[in-house]
Amino acid sequence: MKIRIENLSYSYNLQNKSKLNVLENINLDIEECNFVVIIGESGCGKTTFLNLLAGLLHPTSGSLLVDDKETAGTHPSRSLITQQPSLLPWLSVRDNITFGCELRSEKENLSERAEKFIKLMGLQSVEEAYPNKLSLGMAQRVAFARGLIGMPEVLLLDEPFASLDFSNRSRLQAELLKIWEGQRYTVILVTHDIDEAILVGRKIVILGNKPAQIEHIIEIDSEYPRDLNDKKLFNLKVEIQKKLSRLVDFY
Amino acid sequence: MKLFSKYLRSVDKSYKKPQKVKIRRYQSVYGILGVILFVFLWTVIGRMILSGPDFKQFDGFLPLPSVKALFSLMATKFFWDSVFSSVLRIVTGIILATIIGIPFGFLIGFYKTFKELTHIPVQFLRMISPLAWMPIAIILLPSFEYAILFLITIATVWPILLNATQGVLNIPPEWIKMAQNQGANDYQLLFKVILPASIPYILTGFRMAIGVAWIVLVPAELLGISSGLGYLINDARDTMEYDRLMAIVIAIGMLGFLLDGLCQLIQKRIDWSGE
Repeated sequence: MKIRIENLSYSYNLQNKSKLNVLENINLDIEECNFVVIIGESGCGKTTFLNLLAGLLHPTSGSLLVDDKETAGTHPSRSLITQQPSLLPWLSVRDNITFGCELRSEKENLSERAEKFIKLMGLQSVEEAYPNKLSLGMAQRVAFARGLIGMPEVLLLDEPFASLDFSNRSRLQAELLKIWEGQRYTVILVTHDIDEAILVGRKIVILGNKPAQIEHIIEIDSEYPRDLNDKKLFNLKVEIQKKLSRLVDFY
Repeated sequence: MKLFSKYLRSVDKSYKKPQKVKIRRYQSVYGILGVILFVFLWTVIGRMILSGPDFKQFDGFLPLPSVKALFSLMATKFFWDSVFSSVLRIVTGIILATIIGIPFGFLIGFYKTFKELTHIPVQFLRMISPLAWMPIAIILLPSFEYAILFLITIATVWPILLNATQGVLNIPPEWIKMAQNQGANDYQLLFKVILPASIPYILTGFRMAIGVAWIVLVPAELLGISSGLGYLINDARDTMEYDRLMAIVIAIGMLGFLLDGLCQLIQKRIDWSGE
């Protein structure tokens, strides 16, 4: 088991000394090379969950095991890509991509590796440009290149496609799938988009609301690329929609 | 309506390039026109004030004698020595203020407790005119030179400190999160993310500091030191060379203008936010 999550809970301390439970008692096993999608309402704690996996937050209780070892803090083998590209404006596209490798002094044939990911993400024409000259779609490609170049084992994606337009989104999703099929990372994608979840996920985890708990786990074994008009997938979409709407109070 | 569309055009990226060139050309024409107008007003108002017979001796304050005196002054070594010692004082003072201001500014930006702890003392000290420290500085410090450095430092530390704080406070938290995820340790976080991210603010602080330092310098130099531009002014007054006095005033203005221009040039060079 690549990742084992046991009785994981997380709560924020509020100002009036009360606690807000965000995640409660989550148990989840994630196999190596699986593509897991976590879906839930906005604000249900999906991002918190991913930040816990990344090591940016520490669980209030429970444990988080990666390769049977308790996680402590961030580790470059668990690479996080977020909705905002978060590129550093004083570095060129190329330097943004190699930023993490420079920090960790992984300089071995760095320029060839950078070249490879620039090509993979179609950034050849802008590699010397600065981030403020890039469109959002391009900037997100740079963020993907930066997240992938360090050869991570686990890829944590926090709605990375949410702020892209339709054509950029579908292109980048398809490219991500291609890279995943080649490299076999363990991917955990957080999203609120049901279509996206069905298109890319092999295991869909539906989170309930406040505090977030796992409500359902759905396995999809259809081949890629998937077609949303496929009867089986369409029925699945309706099923997920129903499950999600049942979780919201006002329905 | 017309004004509004004009504004929109000036902020629209696609229109920016031709607009910029156009503005620059007008700017230089208007700039020269402004200087001419300034000298004209100086002459007219000067003549009006100095037309009485009692003021004959003050003719040196008019533009022509002043500029003449400036040229002859610029031919002397003593003038350049004074400029050098004045600029050296400013540079040293600002370096001292940087060494104190940036670390403190960062600490205040980072730690809320530290910010609250220092808030009232900082706002209190900031509001004291630097020249008010003059007698204390002279009594407590071993020489006038140290006293002047102290005054420049205490005057320039505030803009540097407050801008460094602003720089830290304005760093998007996602950048920190990204760097941590990429494996940055605390040292790298400081030097690879936080410091470069606050560069635009720090440079703004420097520019403000140079302005303040130049203003504080001259009165500080009036008080008993025997070098620097402030001293030269005092000297010219004592010897009643009013054209020379005015020439030094012009020189002070020009040097300040140049220093600020230099600062802007550096800002353009290394400020990533302007690109």
